[in-house]
Amino acid sequence: MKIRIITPGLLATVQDLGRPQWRSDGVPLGGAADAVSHRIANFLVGNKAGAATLEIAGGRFTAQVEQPGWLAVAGADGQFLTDEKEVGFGRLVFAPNGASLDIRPGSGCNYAYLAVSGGWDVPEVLNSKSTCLAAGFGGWEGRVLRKGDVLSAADAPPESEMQGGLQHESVRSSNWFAGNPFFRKMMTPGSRTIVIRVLAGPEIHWWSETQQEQFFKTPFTVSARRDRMGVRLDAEDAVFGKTEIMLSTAVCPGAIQVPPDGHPFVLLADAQTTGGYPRIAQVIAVDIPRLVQIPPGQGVCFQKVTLEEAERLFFEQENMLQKIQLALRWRALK
Amino acid sequence: MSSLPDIAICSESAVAVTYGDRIDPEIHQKVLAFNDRLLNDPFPGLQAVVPAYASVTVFFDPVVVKENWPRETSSAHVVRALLEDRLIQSPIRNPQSAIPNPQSPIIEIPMQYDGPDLAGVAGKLQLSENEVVRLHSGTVYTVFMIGFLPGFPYLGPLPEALRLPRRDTPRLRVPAGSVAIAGDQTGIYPQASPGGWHLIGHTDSRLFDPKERPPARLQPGMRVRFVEI
Repeated sequence: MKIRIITPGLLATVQDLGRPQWRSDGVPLGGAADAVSHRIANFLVGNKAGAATLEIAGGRFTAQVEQPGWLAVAGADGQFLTDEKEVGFGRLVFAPNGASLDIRPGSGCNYAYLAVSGGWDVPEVLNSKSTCLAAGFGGWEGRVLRKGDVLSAADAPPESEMQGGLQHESVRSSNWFAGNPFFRKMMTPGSRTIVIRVLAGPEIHWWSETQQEQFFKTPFTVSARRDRMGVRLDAEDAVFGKTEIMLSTAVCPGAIQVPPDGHPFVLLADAQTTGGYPRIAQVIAVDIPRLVQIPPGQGVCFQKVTLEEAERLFFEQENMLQKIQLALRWRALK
Repeated sequence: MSSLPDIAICSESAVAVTYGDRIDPEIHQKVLAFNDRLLNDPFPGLQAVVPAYASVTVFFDPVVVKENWPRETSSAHVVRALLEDRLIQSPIRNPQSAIPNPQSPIIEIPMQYDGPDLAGVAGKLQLSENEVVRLHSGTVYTVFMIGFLPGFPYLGPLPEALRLPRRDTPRLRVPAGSVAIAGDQTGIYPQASPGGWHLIGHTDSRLFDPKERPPARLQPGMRVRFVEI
C-alpha cells in the first residue's frame, strides 16, 4: 500500500499510542488524540493497537493510491469516499491502484484515523512512531503531512494474509462495519450539553465548596481554541480564575487547569509534561477520546465520579476493545 | 521530623508524592532520592517517574498493574499502597546521601549574552548589562526539573538581584537556544516555542536529541554554569 497526499487538511500527522516513558525528559505523551478510534481503525485492518495510523484533524483529506492495499477509516463521525463513492467509516476497504481517497471528518474538525494493513511505515523514535510536533521528531519527518508526501505501509502482519491474498481491480468494501460504540451515548436526548465525567483534581481544595458545586453545575462551551495540546472551555462568567500560581509539577492529559482568566483548559495528548496552574478536575480516561471529538460551540458540563467508577469504566472499555479486535481479526471481505 | 509526604491519586494512571510547596534544595534532595529509588526498583506497570521541585509523579499502565494484582479492584490504589510502603519502610532521613553529590562535576554551557531583553532587564534591575552577565554566569545552578518543552531545564536559584516577574506579554516565538530568566529561575529553550521569560542570550549547545539516551542532556540534580564566549 502506498498513497500520495493531495490535500492534507488542517493537521494530518502520523500517530500511534504515544511515548509514555519519556515524560521525565519533557517529552509529551503524544499519540492519537482519540486513541479509541485509532485502535478501532487498526483492528479493522488486522493490525495491533499500536500500529501507526494517519490522524486527520479537521478539514478534508484527499490522497491517491499508488500501490493497492487494504485500509480503513475510523472516527466519531464523518464521510469516507473512494473514487467519489461513499464507503463510510468502520469498513475494511480494498483500494486499487489509482483510487482516490477522500476523508471528511464530521463538522467541527473532529479526528479521523486512516489505518493500513501493516501500519504506516515510519521510523520509531524514542520507542514510538507518533509525531512530536514540539521538538520536530517522530512520525513523518517530525512534521505535519503536506501535499505530495508519499506514505507506504509496513509489511502486513500475518493475521491479515487473508486480505492480502485477495486482489481486486476496483474498490471493494466490507458489507459489515464496526461502529464506534463509545460515542453513541454521548448526547442525552433532549439535552443541550454533553456530560464529561471527571475525578476531583489534585488542587480542588483551592476552591470553596460553594465554588466547586457551581463548577459542576456550570455549562461550558468548547472553544475554537483547541489543538492536540489542549482545549479551552469558555465560561460565561470567569469566576473560577485563581491568581495564585502553584509550584510547577508533572501534569497529565485530561487534567483541567484553571488559569487566572477563569476559562478551564483541558490538557490533551501533546500537552507539556509540567504545569503550574491549579487543576480543579481530571477528565476520566474513557471520556478523553469523547471530549476531543466534541466540536467547538458545543456545551459541556462536568460530572464528578469516583475513582472506582472511572477505573471500572476504563476496564470495561478495554474489554470491549479486546472483543472488537477478536471479532475483526478473521473477518474476511464478504 | 520525618512525617510522610502527601500522596494523591491524580488519574487512573498517575499518583503524585508531594514533599512541600516551595523551592527548597533540601526538599528537592528528597524528591531526587525517591525518584532514584523508584527507578532502581521499579514495580510492574511503571511507565515514568517525573521529579519536579517538590513532587514526584509516578505514571503507570493500569492494565499491567491489574494483571499483576488481579484480586485488587483499583490499580491506582495498588500503586498508592506500593508508594506508601516504600516511603514507610525507609523514610529518607539523610537527604545528603542522595544525589546530586555536591562534588558532582559542573556542566558548563557556553553562551553569548546577546538576548533581545538584556538591556531592558538591566534597566529594570538598575544594573549594568555587564553586572547582569557577571551575576548570571557567576552562579552554579541546580537542574530542578525538566518540563515545558522536550529537554527544557528549570535551573535555579537565580541570584536575588536578577529576579523579575515574567514579561507582561509572552512572545509568540522564542528562538531555539535562547537562555532566559524569570522569577528565581533561569532556563534554556531547546526548541523554538512561545514563551514569557526574558531572553538574555543564547547557546548553540544541543540540549535535546531523540537519538541519545536519555534524550534530555540535562537531568534533575545536575549542576550547571553558563560560560560567556
